[in-house]
Amino acid sequence: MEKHGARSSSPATADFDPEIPVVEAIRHGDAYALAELMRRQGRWVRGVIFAVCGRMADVDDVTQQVWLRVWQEAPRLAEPSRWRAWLYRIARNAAVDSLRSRRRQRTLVEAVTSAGQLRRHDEPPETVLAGQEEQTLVLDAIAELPALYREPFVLRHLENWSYAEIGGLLGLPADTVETRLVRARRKLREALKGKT
Amino acid sequence: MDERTEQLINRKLDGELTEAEVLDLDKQLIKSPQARALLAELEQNDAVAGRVLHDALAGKDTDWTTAQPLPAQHTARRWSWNRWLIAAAACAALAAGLARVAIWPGSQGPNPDKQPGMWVEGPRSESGTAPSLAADDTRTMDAWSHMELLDSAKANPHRVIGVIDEETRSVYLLEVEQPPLRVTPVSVTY
Repeated sequence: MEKHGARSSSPATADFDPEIPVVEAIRHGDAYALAELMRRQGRWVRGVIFAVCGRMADVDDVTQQVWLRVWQEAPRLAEPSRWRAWLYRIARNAAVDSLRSRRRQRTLVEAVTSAGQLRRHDEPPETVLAGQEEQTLVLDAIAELPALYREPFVLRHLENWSYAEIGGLLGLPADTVETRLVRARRKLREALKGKT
Repeated sequence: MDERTEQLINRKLDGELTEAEVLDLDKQLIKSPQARALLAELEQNDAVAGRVLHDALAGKDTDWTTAQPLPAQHTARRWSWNRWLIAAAACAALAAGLARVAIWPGSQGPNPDKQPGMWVEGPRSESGTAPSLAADDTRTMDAWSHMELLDSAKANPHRVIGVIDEETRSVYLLEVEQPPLRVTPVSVTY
């Protein structure tokens, strides 16, 4: 199987965590260190945001909010060695906030327009699929996964992390991660059947 | 195809198979065309999903940090509730200590010969911050009486009057300023 993405940002328990000095530098106000952390860890952060929001259009805005919060909150980080859990919590909270905001806006829009008029899923499937590229099709299929399955699925396919590594980040047992990945693949297989 | 085989296929895709599971899965793949088909399909889906996610989410985040000034960092730590509790307890203890010093100069307590009930003392001594106990200014009252206290304050240039209610173990402090006359009651339970 083709592997995408190096495991350099893997959360494996190592004796020396090379990110700790970078996080320390951010805590002391080094903007270049922030850019470095973004370069090294930005991909999975974006993955978490996409997995929570379920929409690629939100990723850029929320990602910027996340890194701004990281910058502002870094001096308050009590234990730099736990930076990954801290960063995950910031990313997840920002994504959840964005999701709630979007839901409120959608409720308002739907209240003043005819029911579901603006929703793309109400269009005929032929119209939706016609002209769609593979990327859009697959991203839509992933976005349609239940949120519980989406997060481990995205982290697994984006970063090639193990069950234990994903579980460590999400606060889940490795068995649970495995079960969710099996179910995610099953649902994605149904969604993509004959389309890729 | 059973769930065990599907699980093994998933574990293979995730690189989590043990040696025993590798052998087990190989046997299943040899004898089951459906297992082989599922493996091929899931491998293809994984490859596509990985490529798509990688392309869509690859980092493009490093530009804006140096292109625009970053906001100020939050340096002050937020106070948690227990810190506030400790600060409040410290303030209360300090107030109680000050009240005790103001009423009982030195280590003296109220005169044990006095009858239980209200007890008044003053004025403040010239040398120290605590009021001195003068015989003329100390008396026992049957009940709380604002008018009597005010009259006493007008007659004598008291700055602090303390009233002790021994039944409820409470201290009432009256700070009196002249001129103009102003009475500020403070209640402390000890």
